[in-house]
Amino acid sequence: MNRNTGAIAAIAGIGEVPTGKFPERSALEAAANVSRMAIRDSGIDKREIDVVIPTGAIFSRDFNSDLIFGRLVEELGLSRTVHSNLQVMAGGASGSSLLKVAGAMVASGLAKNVLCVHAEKLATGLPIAAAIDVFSTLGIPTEWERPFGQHFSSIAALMTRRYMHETGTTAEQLAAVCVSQRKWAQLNPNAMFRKSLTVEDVLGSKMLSEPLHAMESNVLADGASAFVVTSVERAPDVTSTPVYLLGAGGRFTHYALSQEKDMVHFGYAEAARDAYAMAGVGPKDIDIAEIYDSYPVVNLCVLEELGLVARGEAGAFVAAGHTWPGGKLPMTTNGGMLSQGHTGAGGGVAILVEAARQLMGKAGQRQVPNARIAVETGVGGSYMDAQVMVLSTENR
Amino acid sequence: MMAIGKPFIEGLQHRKLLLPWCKTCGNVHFYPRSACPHCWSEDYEWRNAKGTGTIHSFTIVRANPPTEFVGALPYAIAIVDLDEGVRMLANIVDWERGIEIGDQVKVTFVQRAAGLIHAFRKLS
Repeated sequence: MNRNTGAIAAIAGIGEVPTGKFPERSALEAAANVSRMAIRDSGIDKREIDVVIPTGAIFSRDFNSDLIFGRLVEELGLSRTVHSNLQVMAGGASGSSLLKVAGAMVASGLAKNVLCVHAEKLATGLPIAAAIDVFSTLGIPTEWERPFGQHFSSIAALMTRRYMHETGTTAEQLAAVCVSQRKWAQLNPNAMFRKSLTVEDVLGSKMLSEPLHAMESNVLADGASAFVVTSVERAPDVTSTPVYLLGAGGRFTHYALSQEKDMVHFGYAEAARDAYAMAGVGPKDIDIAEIYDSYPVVNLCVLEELGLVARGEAGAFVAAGHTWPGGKLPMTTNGGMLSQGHTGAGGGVAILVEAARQLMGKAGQRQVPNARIAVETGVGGSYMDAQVMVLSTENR
Repeated sequence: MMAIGKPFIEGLQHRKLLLPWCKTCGNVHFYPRSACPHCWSEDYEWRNAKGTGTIHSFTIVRANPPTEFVGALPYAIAIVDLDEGVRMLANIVDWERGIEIGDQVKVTFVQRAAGLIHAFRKLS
């Protein structure tokens, strides 16, 4: 574990296209668009991008193969100036994992400037039934869980039931997470769902897997986002709004949910402890919590395990409005996958891009005033690996 | 079905719930791995489990399951802590009578197209 010795790397630019249903927009053009946006935003000449890291796309094996084999490099006119094109894929932890890998590359000198990019077309890139069938069982053990009808809603339901049992959290408090997310999404032009939402709406929606309601479940979407990582030394020369990675932590706890020893807390507390120690900050220093959601129970667990709220009190905290726009702890300010939409690995990239956007002061209507330090989380699969990043406007 | 779990699957066909016990370090594990995850020994033996355990969490699936489970709706999935100390996921039969976290359950075997598979039933 590193002591606090300054930032590891910096995010210099970001790009994103709206999330939702876009049948006319190809994944390739979305990927290229967000890449150009992020590189332009970074202030870095495109010929100075020497590494491209696309994360995984699920909707099409052909498109993902194109990403692996560098179609995007050629599309962007970066052939020969790019030294490496390689894929980093960790499901919903891909944003955090991209930043870890890109950050290590620029910190070590193996790369100067790294483009991290994601594009997905889960809403319109394949038949909806196929999308749900493929996506709802990805990473669930074929032999030991799928034969019993396990899928992502039932995974979330098993976690939620246990969380409610151990903490006394109510259905209304869980639904309040969806409301909080929606209030942010209403301020986000890139979000898929922007109509107002109440706790009653959520609890009145169809029961999927008890106690999980349909409106507590994310919706598959098309989307794309990107960010550019550069070194701490170079960052202030190229952009006036660098965002520094101060600390990173993670814990891989399980592959199969049924092998997780603690499906209420997972490994977030340990991951956060490492990230805070590396960053030299604590929970009290956090201005914004950009939590990868996917289901309401995840936000509540993470708020508690990151030390932002006492254990068992996150439900009441969210229900009281403290995570809403104007609240004392803004949370998942793009609306999360519950309201911005679920773009596979892109949900994790989008939340990292949102953390950077807030710290850059580029969040428009939903800008959190004076945001200086953000914590960002990602997690993949059936909540296999708690990833925690601490980001700041200052290299401290 | 992968070869690693074959003795387990074969046991089910004889209405036996078999668990792999490591002969080197003495630990039991589930689901079956290519070697003991504790000590990496490949020398383990399959022993009959008591078949009793406790519900750690559960859900009743009522809508939007994977396509092949649409006809099975509604159905119950639980994570069960076996008395031997391993955790497994399976369906609960006769859940309509009511199940809760902490309930004691006992293994049963249900017929599927591919053969018998384990499930649990609440101990009354």
